[in-house]
Amino acid sequence: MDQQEPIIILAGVQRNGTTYQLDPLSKLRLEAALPGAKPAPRIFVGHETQADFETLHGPMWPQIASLLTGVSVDRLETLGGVIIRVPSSGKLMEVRP
Amino acid sequence: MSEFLIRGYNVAVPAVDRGDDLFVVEDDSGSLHRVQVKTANARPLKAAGYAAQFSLPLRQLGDPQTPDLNYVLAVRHADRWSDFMIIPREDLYREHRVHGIGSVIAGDKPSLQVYLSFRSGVVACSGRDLRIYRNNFAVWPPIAH
Repeated sequence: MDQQEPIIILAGVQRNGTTYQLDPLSKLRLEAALPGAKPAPRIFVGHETQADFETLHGPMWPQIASLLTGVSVDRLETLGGVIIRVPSSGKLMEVRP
Repeated sequence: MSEFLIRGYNVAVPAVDRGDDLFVVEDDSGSLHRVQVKTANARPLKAAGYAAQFSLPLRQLGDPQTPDLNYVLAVRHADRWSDFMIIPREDLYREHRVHGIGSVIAGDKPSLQVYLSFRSGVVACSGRDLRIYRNNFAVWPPIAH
């Protein structure tokens, strides 16, 4: 895999919140690149409406990325950066530090 | 459903078919498990054993949810339900993304065709052995009431 491809975080948007989880290939790549990291397997963050997903969660994405990977977003930038992918819509959004 | 009841869980079936087939509930804690059941008739293989094919919505397969989804792939062979492949969505998606199992059928609603062959104790799918999921209800350990 190209080391400069972004890390992908999958976002399963539900009515009352969104479940975030690393894409399996990104997870494998990070396990190889960061063997000492202790990431969370998944994170659920609630929201009042689905429309809140981007507006409310957007500013939280750097923190969510850190929790799911075990390292800072600045560190992740050296590994190709991070994008959020919403499987239900195919939408892609960049996570900025 | 009977397998879940025997294990001490409660089971609910949605009145309207919108995706999930079953909700399995731990009454004491209120924990909810989502289950989607797929069935297939097996056909015999030339060199012993049998095989069955399932079709899963690709978007659903890659969509993490809370609570997350478990697939039960039920195989009918020789006039009985011979095998239940119980696979968490996350595991099946990993097998597809990392090891390439299944064949993607493109379209407005893309799907993943999963071909399982049962032979000599091995459950093969695209070169991977998925026997650990065969009749494995460990996601739902028995509850003592």
